[in-house]
Amino acid sequence: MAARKYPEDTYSGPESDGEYSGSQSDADSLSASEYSESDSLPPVWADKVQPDGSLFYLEQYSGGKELNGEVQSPPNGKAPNGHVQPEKKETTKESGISRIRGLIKKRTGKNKDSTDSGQSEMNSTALYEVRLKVDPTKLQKEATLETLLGIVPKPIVRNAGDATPVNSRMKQILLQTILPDGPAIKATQLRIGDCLVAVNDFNVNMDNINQLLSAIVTPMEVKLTMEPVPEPWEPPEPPPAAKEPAKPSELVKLVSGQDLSTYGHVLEKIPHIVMYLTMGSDSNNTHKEEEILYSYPDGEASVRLKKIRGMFITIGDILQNVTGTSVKSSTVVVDKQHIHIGYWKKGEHLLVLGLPGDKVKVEQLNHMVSDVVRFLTVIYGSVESAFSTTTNISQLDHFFSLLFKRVLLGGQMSSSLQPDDNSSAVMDMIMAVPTLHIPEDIKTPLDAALSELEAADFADMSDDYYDLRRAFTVLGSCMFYKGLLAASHLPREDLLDVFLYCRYYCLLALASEERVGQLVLWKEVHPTRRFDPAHREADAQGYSEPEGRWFLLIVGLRHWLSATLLEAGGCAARAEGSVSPDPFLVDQTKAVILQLETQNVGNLFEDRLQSPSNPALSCAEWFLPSSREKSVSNASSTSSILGTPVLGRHQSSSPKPLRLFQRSPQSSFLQVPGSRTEVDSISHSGSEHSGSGVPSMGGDSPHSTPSLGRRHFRKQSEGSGSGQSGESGNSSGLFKVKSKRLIPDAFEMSNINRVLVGQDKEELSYSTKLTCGVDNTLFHYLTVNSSSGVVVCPTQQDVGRLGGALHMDVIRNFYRCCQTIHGMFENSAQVKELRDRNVDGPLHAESPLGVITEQGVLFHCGPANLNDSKRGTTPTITYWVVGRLYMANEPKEVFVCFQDGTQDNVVEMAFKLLFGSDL
Amino acid sequence: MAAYLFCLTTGGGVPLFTRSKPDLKPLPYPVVGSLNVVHMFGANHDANLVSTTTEHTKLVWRVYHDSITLIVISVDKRASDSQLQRFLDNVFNSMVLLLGLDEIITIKNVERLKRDLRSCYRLIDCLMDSSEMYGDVTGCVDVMMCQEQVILQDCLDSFVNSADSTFGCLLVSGKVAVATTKWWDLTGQEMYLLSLLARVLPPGSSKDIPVYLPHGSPNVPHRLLNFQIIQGVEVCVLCGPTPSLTEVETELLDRYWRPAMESLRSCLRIHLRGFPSNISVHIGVLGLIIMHVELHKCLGTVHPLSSEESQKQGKSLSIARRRDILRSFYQSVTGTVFPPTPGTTPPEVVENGHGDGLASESPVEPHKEFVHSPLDTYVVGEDHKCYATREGPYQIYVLFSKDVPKYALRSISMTTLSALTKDKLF
Repeated sequence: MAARKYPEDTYSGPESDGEYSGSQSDADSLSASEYSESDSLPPVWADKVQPDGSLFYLEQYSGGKELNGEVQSPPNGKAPNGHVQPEKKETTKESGISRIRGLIKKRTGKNKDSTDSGQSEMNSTALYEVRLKVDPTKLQKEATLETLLGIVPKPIVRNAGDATPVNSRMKQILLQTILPDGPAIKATQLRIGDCLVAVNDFNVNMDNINQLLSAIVTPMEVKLTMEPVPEPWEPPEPPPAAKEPAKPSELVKLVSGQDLSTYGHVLEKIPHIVMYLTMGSDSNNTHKEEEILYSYPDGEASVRLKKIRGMFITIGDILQNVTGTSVKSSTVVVDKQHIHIGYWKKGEHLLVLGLPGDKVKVEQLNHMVSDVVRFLTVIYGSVESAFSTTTNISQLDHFFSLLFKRVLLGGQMSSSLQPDDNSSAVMDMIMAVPTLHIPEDIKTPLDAALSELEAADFADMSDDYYDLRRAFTVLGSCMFYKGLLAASHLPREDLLDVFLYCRYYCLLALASEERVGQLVLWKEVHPTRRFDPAHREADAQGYSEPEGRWFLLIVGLRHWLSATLLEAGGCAARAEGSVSPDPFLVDQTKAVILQLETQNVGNLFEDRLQSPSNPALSCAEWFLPSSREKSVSNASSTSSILGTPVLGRHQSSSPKPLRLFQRSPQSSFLQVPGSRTEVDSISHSGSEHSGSGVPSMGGDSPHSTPSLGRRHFRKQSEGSGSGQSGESGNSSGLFKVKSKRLIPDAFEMSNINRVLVGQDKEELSYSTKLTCGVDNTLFHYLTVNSSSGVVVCPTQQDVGRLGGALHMDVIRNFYRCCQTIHGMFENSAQVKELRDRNVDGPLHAESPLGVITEQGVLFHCGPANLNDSKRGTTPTITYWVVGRLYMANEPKEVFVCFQDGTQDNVVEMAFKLLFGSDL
Repeated sequence: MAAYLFCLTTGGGVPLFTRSKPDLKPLPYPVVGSLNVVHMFGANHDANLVSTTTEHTKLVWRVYHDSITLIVISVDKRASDSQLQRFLDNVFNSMVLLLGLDEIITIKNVERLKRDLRSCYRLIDCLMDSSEMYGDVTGCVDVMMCQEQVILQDCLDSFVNSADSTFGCLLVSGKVAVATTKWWDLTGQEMYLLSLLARVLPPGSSKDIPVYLPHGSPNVPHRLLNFQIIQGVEVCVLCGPTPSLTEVETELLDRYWRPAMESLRSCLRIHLRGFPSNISVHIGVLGLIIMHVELHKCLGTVHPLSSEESQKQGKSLSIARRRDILRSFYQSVTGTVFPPTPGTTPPEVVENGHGDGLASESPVEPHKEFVHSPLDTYVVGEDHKCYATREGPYQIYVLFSKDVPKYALRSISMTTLSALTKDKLF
């Protein structure tokens, strides 16, 4: 199963000097790179493919080490220990793609010889060579690694007082950043972290490199000899944990279905169960457990629940007769502990899910039951078929153990598994995907990259090119970054299907908590949109969705998670038998992520996560009288140093005055309040390059400097090469990031003027925070757009940055309250629906409150330590949590948390602004 | 709210009575039986079935003293467990009120008990029907305020004293206008049930019935003397074997109450409104419930305005709908946003379980407290707005017309609360 080369330049960087026209031969010549697998080997996951074609391959990220943390286990297969079944692999259908492999190989081989600017590989040694065309005549200054080659080396790090001389190891030129406008970006083989060994066969190190490069005076081709790092793509900042031997973290173990015996005894005591029962069997003999088609787990407390299954069956049976409606939930007291039981009944069968009342609320459980049902339907076609065959048992065990561990152990096991008990409780109740609110200019490259993947137009790499019917049509894809939805090109129902899958398999938690070395997941699915009759009706008249089979491909790299929904049948070839993942598609998906990484999108997301949230939030503590003075003094100290680049650091200590200025959704991530921008650009215009980025960063993230440096360079290219951005279509468009925000070449004064003026205007027009008055009184918000299936709220980082125990309490309270209010809204929606359907019966009565469209709760508190003493005199804070339901054709829910005393019209504005933002 | 109510013996599952809303067809016995069996099955496995929700309905089971099982089917699926449990408590305690606890928990003759329980039907039906009173949901006794309170208090105190008792109250159309200090020491539920009993008794000028106080003396009966002074105004006295009904009626009633007749009449005039005319509320207020949590009393009204004012207000929600909204709003707030009213479900009902049947059954799911204490809350509906706030022992739930702007809700509620509480009438 040879991996093919592919024209990576479709996604590669800007073609600032027009050297590469994107013609076919160039495309091929550039494609000779394979980033993770060597040319002749099948993909690493190839032998993990299950007989049914499904695949789950997870490789833990092991910074800098050999892949010793590799963990594979198929939750999707009956071989729980990842047994390889190579002999069965042959039975998998050979896709159209694979039939043309030979062809491609030949072609690429031919092209390699005729390459003029590409790379050749030295397969014999670990070293590889890269040829770059450089043109020192275009440079306005000294030729360095950065300017000439577009490579930023890793600086030599020495501890203060370290007396040992700089040894040769330390002088190594390690690639830290590849600048997007330099020649090096075109050499797709180059990987960050690789070591530059020689230039034109001269051995180089940090001492002699610049000397050597400055000797190049005419445009020429240089040959770089590189030594790859063992691990692909060492990121700009190696995580501190990278030095430890990478052993599978608990989360990885959990996700990949390994046993976590450490928690066994805890779970043993917590009553929780899932059962699939049949009412058809003769239940006279209860000992035989005939009516149990499936149950999990077998802990001591769970067995007690199993024993009373007769009760659940009877309830499920008779209540239908009594009330005419199906049973939803029960509450049972066992050993003085409340246990909620959720039901789902269809025909003779009853699905029962039981969880302790101190962990979940009834409403939450109801949602979980419907989630589980939906999940099982998506994966197995129907709940019944999920439980009907014994082959699924190990998969189901794994699925439910994940579910229980997430809900019951949550925070104990992993901070991001259940980051916040309260918010996750709300999230369980809201069928929507947590989304990162990102500005258009970052969204554009992301969307473009996804669109490109979805177009599946791989030129001569695609089946169409060879007049073959393609194996899959891409229905849509979506991208998660650190567990937050970054972009989605999927219809709502499909998105929710994908989201459910990722959520219940803890993939989102995994991606947000740690870097994933590589995750490839392939699964045949039964999308709700196609299979649920309720959704099918929505088809337009005269049109019906094609019959076919659908497959979900999830690829994870580091914090990225990309999910693609594929269709076989319809306009693609019909799939028969078991369909195994197409390595080409996997590679393409990976390429998208890599491309985004190359374009620095990941860092921009990271910056977005690190930068103050938008809309601006306040911390509850700032409104306590005692701390108010403090923050005021902070403010004054801030203003006194307003002109210094250190300003960024103060942001965290005195965020209030800075946050008074609100950034627009369109503004830059790094754009921090008002006067700062100006300071920033002025320092840029002073032709100071290296340090200029620092002030606009959060201050404490180690990778801030390189990322900004890169941005800065991109800006330069934008300034000089803006004329041609149009012609190169998509690929250069990707780099056309925010021309208005960028600071142009330091030598072009006219541009500076324009930018300064432009920024001022923009800043003025958008410098509204959601609340008015001296202080920003907004603490937190949550918006749910049920029509598009997304939910937006400040990220964990946003909350963490604001800090403060009191603020945490406020947030906790906020989410708890949201749960209550959301329950109210849900009821409103049901009332409305029943009204529309004119449902009326003796046992149905509309709640007298009718449709509630808004609810608010006023809370009161003081700092915890003062809470009990004299109430009247201690500093206190009162704040509102208000939820509002918009029931227009696109139902939305908005929850805000703000300080009491805020004017009503201001609150109105908060709703409007959130409502109007492009969520 | 409650659509069906079933009462069975816990031991044998013998149905004692079934009450249902008039428009519902009765459920066949096997269904009722299996509802009971399900609960019994669980109890035998040490798993106590508390409640079950279906798409539109909610069922709650409750066993009292290992002898009586009550099952309620409510058509409001959002009703909390505790609300329905309070309803069942009310039902059970009305049975205790009329029959005594011993009679009910030591069942000697099921048929006789069935017959005896018929006397409770009126009370229970009244509980199932959402009445003009709010005591069933609040767990407090409905009261009214009048300016003549001082005069009436004097009259009542001396009247009750001369009837050799310390427990007495004056009811104006079912609401307590004044009561003796001892009367206020009864639990909210007892007070509520007693005033409800006075309402449902067949009309007549004077009545004498034995009652068992569900919490105070569940096994020793007292006599409840009830006299109608004028139409709509009754006085109740709880007393021992003496004095006789005729004695009180002929000798005391006239003597103590004739002087206060004018006050009683003026009291009766404002009984719908519930508070004196000199206290004015905002024109946008359609109804309100004000509660004193510690004294277990509440005042609910859907006629807060004088007649001229309500004419000015123009057409708005119907009276019945106002009542429904207020009750529903109260229920949606208490226990979810506001902490459940303390003391309304006296602990002994739960704890003094004879045998382990009741003891193992904790009544209410532990309320998940908010980290900070909620003070106010409001909802905005299609045709109304509601606001609730608490201050000290007081809670007020106000129903507004939809025209009242949101920013005014709080200040109006606060003003109303202070207007109603400032004269210490409430």
